[in-house]
This record gives sequence, C-alpha cells and structure tokens, in this order.
Amino acid sequence: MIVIEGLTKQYGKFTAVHDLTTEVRKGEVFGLLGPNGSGKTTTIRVLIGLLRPTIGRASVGGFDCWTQSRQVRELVAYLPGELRQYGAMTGFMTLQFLSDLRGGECLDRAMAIAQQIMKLDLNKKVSSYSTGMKQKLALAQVFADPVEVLILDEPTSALDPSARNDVLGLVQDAKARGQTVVFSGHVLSEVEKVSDRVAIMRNGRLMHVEDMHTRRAQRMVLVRFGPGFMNDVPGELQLNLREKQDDGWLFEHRGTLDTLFAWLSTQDVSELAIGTEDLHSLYNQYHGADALAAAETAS
Amino acid sequence: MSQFAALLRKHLIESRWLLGLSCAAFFGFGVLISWLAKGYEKIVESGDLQLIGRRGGPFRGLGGSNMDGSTTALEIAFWNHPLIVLIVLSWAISRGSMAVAGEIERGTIDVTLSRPISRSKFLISQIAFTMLGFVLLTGCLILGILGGNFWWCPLTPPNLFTLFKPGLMVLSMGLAVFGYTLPLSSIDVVRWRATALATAITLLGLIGMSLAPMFKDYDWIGKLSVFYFYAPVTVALKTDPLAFNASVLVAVFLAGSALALVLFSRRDLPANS
Repeated sequence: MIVIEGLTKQYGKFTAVHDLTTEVRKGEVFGLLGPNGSGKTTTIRVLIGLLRPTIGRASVGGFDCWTQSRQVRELVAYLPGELRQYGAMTGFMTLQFLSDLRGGECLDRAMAIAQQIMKLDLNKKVSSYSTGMKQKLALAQVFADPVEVLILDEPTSALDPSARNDVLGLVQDAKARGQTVVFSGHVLSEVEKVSDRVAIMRNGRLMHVEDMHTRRAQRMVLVRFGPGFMNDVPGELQLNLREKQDDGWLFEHRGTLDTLFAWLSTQDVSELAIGTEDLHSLYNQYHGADALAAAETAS
Repeated sequence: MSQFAALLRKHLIESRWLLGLSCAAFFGFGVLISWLAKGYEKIVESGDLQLIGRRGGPFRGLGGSNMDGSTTALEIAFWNHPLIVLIVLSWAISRGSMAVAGEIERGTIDVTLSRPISRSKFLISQIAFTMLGFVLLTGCLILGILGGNFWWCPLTPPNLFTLFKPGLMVLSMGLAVFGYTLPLSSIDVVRWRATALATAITLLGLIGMSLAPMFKDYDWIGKLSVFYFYAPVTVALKTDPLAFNASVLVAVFLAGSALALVLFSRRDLPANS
C-alpha cells in the first residue's frame, strides 16, 4: 500500500531522512518509533506530499507522493503531530469544513465520533478547546474519513488515559475495517499494543523493522540451573541464548511449551521464570545509552 | 458544498472582523465624504470664501487652486486620503502575508492541505477571497457616498457609473499590492517577514513616487510605484487613463499571482515547529 524507496530528505546540509526503504502492507498497522528528530515526521510529510524527496521516491496506492499528491490525499487521512486548528470556527464548523474538502460525505460519522466517543461540545469555538480537545476533534475527523490509509503522527500525545484507550480502540476498528494505519508515537506500550509491525528510526535512518506477531509469539525464559546442568541445550527446543550470567540463562523461546517442560524436567533446575518481552528492550538496542555510545564511537 | 466554496467560507470566517470593520469604515467614510462635499458647496454658495480659508482646511492640498470644484471631483479627491489608502493596503498586505506564510506559521496549512485539494486550488481560493474583499470594500465606499449624496443632496452628485471608475482604481491598486505580497508569502514560513517586506516595498514606492520628481534624471523611479498609477480623481473626470492605469496595476497582480502559484506548488511545506 505504501512503498518508500531510497528516500532521502535534506534541508540544506542537514539530512533529516537518509536512504529509507520500506513498505507498509495493505490492512496492517505499522508503528513508527524513534526519538524526536529521528525522521518520523519528515517521512510522514513526504508521504502526504507536503515535502518533496531530495532523492528516492514514495508512493501510496501506486500514486507518487509528490507528483500525484492530490490523488494520494484522496486515499489518506492525516493527523499532524503539531496540530493547529482554525480557532475562529466552532467544532461543528471545523468538521463541516474538513468534510467538505473531502466531498462532504463523512460529516455525520465525524460528528458521531466527536460527540459520542470523544464527548466534545461541537457548538463551542475551537479556540476555547483545550489541546486535548482539539486533538480529539481532529481524531474524530480522521477516523471518520472514508479512506484506505490513516497516518497518525503522535495521535495520543495530548490525551488523557481514557481517551488514549479510545484512540487505540479506534485504530483497531480501522484495522478491522481493512484500513492501513501508520502509527507514529513515543509511547512504546501503545505502539506495541496496536501494531502489526514496528519500524525503529534513528538519526533519519531506518534501523530495524520488527514483526510484532513473531515477537508476541516469542517467550523469554529465565532458568537457573543447578550444578548438574550439562551445558547442552537441544536445538529442537528452539531456545536461543540471549544472555548468561553465572548460573542464570536467559533464552528466547519460540517452540512449544510441552517439549520445553519435558526437557526442563530432566535437568537440574533451581529457578524458572517465563514471560514475554515488551518493546523497551528492542527499542533500547537502538536508543539505549549503550547503543547511542556505540553509534557515536562508530561515527 | 464544493471544496472551493468551503475554502472561501473558511477565509471569510477567519477574516470577518478585519473585513467587516474595514467595510464599515469605508461606508462611514463614504457618508462623511458626501457631508464634507456638501459643506464645501454651501460655503462656495454663500460667497464667503474666507470661510474656506478657515473651515475648508480639509480640502487644501487636494487639488490646489486648479482643483475641479464639482461634487464628483470633491468627493473622489478624498479617495486619496490616507485612511482609505491605509485600509486598502492593510487588507492587501494582511491577506497576502496570511495566504501561505501565515498559514504555515500557524500550522493550519497542514490541516487543510492534508485533504485532497491541490495547492493551486488553495492559493486561488485565497486570491479569489481577497478580490472579493476588495470588491466589498470598494462597494461599501461607493454605497456610502451614494447614500450620503441621497441624504445631503449635493449640487451635482456623481452617479454609480462615475463612481465605478475610481472604484476600479481602488480595486486595482489593492490587487497590485496583494500581487507583490503573495510571492513573498509563498516562499516564507513566517508571516511577519512577508508583511515587513511587502510594507517596505510599499513605503519605498510611496517615497520614490514623492521624491523622484525632484530629481530629473531619476524621475522614472516614481513610475515604478503602484501609487503612480493610482489616480482616482483623474479617471473619474476623464476616461482616458483608466484603462492603462488599471491594466498596469492588474498586470502586477496577475504576474505576482502567477509567480506565487509556481513558487507555492514547488516548495516544501515544513512543520510549523
């Protein structure tokens, strides 16, 4: 659905995005992670035709994002990260205006989301709304748009916890309807919760793309072996050693629990813990203090 | 509602105060002009020309001793008044600087241009609304004068057609100023810089036109100013210069608008942060 090939975006001598190549499949939720200045927003602005690629290209639904940006925006609804609204308009007038720019067919749905889910008073002027309320108003419009792709740049940044959950629910609804969602954010747990795949960016470069289904299927197994352990782990168990400290072994496990427990029952095990791994450890591989120090040394 | 109509409505909602107050000021000024013209005529009728020396102060400098004393000439002479010129310039520069740079600075351009509308349609809507604003402003001035004339009954009140010609001058001058403000706005990301540059160009034009005639070798500089072509009294009394003057001013507007469309369609639109 979205294809980015060798995308580089420079502002003068500063390179905001460097040789980015990736794709977003139709119907998936694609998380974009990275600290401020990592190139997420620049990438998104290239996708909706607000910025021209310096090198490379991006396309949505087969339309080039720069030369056919209007057609791209027919397919895409976008929530800006730095959201500003027309303060002189009421909430209703804003939704009406934005709907009219898309043919007027999504006004009823946008009003329903704004009033019933976001609990907004649409008769009030937008200038009297709080930052969170303005964000809710924009979200109501984005989720109401009859489009194939939603691009959400930090959609929950100004929201209270319950509204954040509403938004995550709306993202999952959008996915269920077959819409493709690009979800850029800083809250790892939110991105982890809704995403099918997650891309991690650093200094304008795509560092890693993680399949969340594979990740969710993976367990972390911490075992402390007694002195009788023979240091021999059969390959068919699909246990990959992540870390070893003294007698503690931390494994990644993708196999079945039956075979794992059957094998453990034959070993000298003093302690066992099984859990899953959140995105923090993966994120820290690229943005943790050690990773950043290593990157600095390398550069 | 069509996309274009929605954009026009948005512009109107945002500019309603400036436009409304400007229109009200122009209408009120039109009525005042009529009243002043009637007052002048009464003094002339009374034969007490000494009064003109004292009470006719406001008229001095408008046309000198050679000034046409007809009601039309008197009333249109006021169209050179700084208040009228200032309001026209304010509308032109504020709309021009707001059209792109102001929207980027405020961040609202993201909201609008993330919808499926072309950049050219967005900019043309800004141009169309500004033109509409000038038509309303000019219309209010003319209506004010016509209303005042109806009430005060001066000796030879101008008809609508006669007022239409200087009205076209006001419209053309405003569009010309808007025309050179718009490209400045189309390449910038902050409104104040586009406003400052357009204001500087306007002031330089005014100063150049005023001072250039004092230096024979450089009097051509005065002809570079849009104010050189703004001659409401002349076009009201004579038909000849209207077409040329208005054409020059409209040409500046069209050239500026075309340049702005090209610049705006090719530029990056960065985030306001």
